[in-house]
Amino acid sequence: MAKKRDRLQIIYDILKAVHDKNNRIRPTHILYKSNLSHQMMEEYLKDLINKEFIVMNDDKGSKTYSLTQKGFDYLNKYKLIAEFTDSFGLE
Amino acid sequence: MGSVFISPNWFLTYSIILEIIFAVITLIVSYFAFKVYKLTDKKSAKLFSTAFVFVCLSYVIQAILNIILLWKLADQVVSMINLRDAALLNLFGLYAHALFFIIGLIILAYIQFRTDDIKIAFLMTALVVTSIVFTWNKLMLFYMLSTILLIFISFNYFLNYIRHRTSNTLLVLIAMIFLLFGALHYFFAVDHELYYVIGHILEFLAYSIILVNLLLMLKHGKKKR
Repeated sequence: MAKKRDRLQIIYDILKAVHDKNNRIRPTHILYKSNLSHQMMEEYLKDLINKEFIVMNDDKGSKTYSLTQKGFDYLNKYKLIAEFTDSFGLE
Repeated sequence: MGSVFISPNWFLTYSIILEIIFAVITLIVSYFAFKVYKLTDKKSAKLFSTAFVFVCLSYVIQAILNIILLWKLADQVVSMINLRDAALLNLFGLYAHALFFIIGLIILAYIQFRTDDIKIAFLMTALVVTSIVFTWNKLMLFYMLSTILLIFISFNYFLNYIRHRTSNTLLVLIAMIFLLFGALHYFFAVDHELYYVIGHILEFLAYSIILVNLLLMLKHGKKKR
């Protein structure tokens, strides 16, 4: 694995943070757990919603995020995905 | 290449078995890459999957044509018509295999450029295909271009190994080097049949390593992080 966090690793970190918070997490917790700037985090969240890895919920006026089945699949297969892309140089 | 004219006749049956094995392994690699693409939306994974579909199809064509040839040549009455049909079939199979295989290699080489400009891939394909179509010795040029593309791909996998230094990247590098030497042996197979056999053995080693690598990844992937 590359020492610098790549995009796959950042996505994994975000999804893992959601998973570890009983699959319902607030954006502030994601910001803290993912170690990203606010702007970067917003871009990643938008991208993850578009790709159907997570969904946004409205919990009594506060915004939370949950994993979809695709998000769970990504978490389970992350190591395989990372090894495959590294092995075949698919940056 | 699947040709009775460069393959020793005693090796034709083994050659067909090996080509089916190559087709199955390349199809598995393509399937894995497609799964990765579906989960990550990585364009390079989609291209990688497409490249291996082309390589897989090239072996499928090669195997089917060799089966037909074997069947035609095993016919009890080998007439001149049979031999002429066999030669035509062989020629068609040769070109179809070359076309699919070389497009697969071009896509693999294109991935190494890490660019979104698809025009580069089209230009490479146009140059390679027109060169093969208009040259007198198509077979030699096909092997030569395959060798050049495999040198480029192998060199990039060497850089990939230097960057990551993992057993997986090393296995892929070794597999690509075997494929490269396999292509080199086919180059000489036009004059010496034995090189055709060596080429197939080297290819078999290359695809076996790729398969082992995939199985190792699956084993590691099942372990919890």
